[in-house]
Amino acid sequence: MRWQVSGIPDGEIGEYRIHNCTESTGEDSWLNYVNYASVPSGDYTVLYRRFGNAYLNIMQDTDREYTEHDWLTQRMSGDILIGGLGIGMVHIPLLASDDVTSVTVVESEQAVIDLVWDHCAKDDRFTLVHDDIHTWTPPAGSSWDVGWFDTWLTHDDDGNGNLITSDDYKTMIESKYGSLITEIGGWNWS
Amino acid sequence: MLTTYGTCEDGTGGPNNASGGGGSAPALVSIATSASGNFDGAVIIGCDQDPTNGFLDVNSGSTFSNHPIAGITGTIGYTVGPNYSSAVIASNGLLTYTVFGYIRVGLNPATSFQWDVTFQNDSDSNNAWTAIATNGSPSTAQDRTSNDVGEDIKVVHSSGGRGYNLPAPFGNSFIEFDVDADATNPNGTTSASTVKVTLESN
Repeated sequence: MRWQVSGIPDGEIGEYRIHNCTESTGEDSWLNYVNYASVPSGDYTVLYRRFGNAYLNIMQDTDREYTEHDWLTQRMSGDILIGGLGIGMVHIPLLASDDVTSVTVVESEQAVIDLVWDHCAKDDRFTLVHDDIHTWTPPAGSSWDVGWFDTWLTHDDDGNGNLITSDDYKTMIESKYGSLITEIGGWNWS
Repeated sequence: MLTTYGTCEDGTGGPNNASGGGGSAPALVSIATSASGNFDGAVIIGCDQDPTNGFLDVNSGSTFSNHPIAGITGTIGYTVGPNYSSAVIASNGLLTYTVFGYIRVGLNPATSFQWDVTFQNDSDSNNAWTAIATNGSPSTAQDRTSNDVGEDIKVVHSSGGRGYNLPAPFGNSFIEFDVDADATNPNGTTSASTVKVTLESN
């Protein structure tokens, strides 16, 4: 089972790149992921972040991703806050749910917005906020039924020589948004 | 392990010696970090993706010691932090750990030499590694203090979807491998005591 993204054209802006690839084509990091996650044959939309000459896959519409979004799958109703646009993959089930009232997507990278937003699944229930989920100040009176946070990358660091772990990220998010959101979940949260 | 024939580490006896007209195989053979002085029974570990020791501890061989039962063992630390992550990203998930050393012969000069690096074991509570293996061709030179011993340890990190998965810090991940060396002359071959290397997260 997967939410297959379609319609986002190949492109590269700044440090970000969209590539429509297959299980056997793409950058080394994607092919590594294909092997690690046992990705079956098919067409995939992959978002890369570039580091020098190396491209790192940071989002892809695979079966594994579907599974990793299981927490959100079970909570698609009401007002939803999404941290991170990515390839707009979770828009597909959110769009299909009549129980969803609104979807607020917060994305910090203008390049990702330019590559994805105009082409991803959405309707007038969806709103994009160009801001950093860590520093964004929600409008006064904001609240959500469900929050899904997926902006953490394994190499994120605190600027003092320490990596930010998934648990660190979870703690930061819960501290900042806990009073505004009824249920909070995120990618790779235990 | 290398195939060993002729004498043991004491350098006496052996089939070639028995028929060789009275000579002796190399003796007092050991793996060291240099031709003389400190450290004997030790190697120096490098990482191709970390030439300035950004995450691998600077090491001179001083952490190795010889135990009656465990043999020669030494631990070198690596720090799982931004430098480690940057190296993994830049190399598309691959880290290559290299070995530098010198094959000392105390008695009965050798005419040829052979290095061998053998991966033994690993553990990582984060399951970041998808493959670890010995790679390359072992050197036949005595002095591999400037260039590595030919065989190295390649570590492949998994790409988990939000970047490469990274091994667990604080002693919760390690890689173990053995370094062996032989010295040979017309009278036989003598193997140095194995140097057991552990790379462990700080």
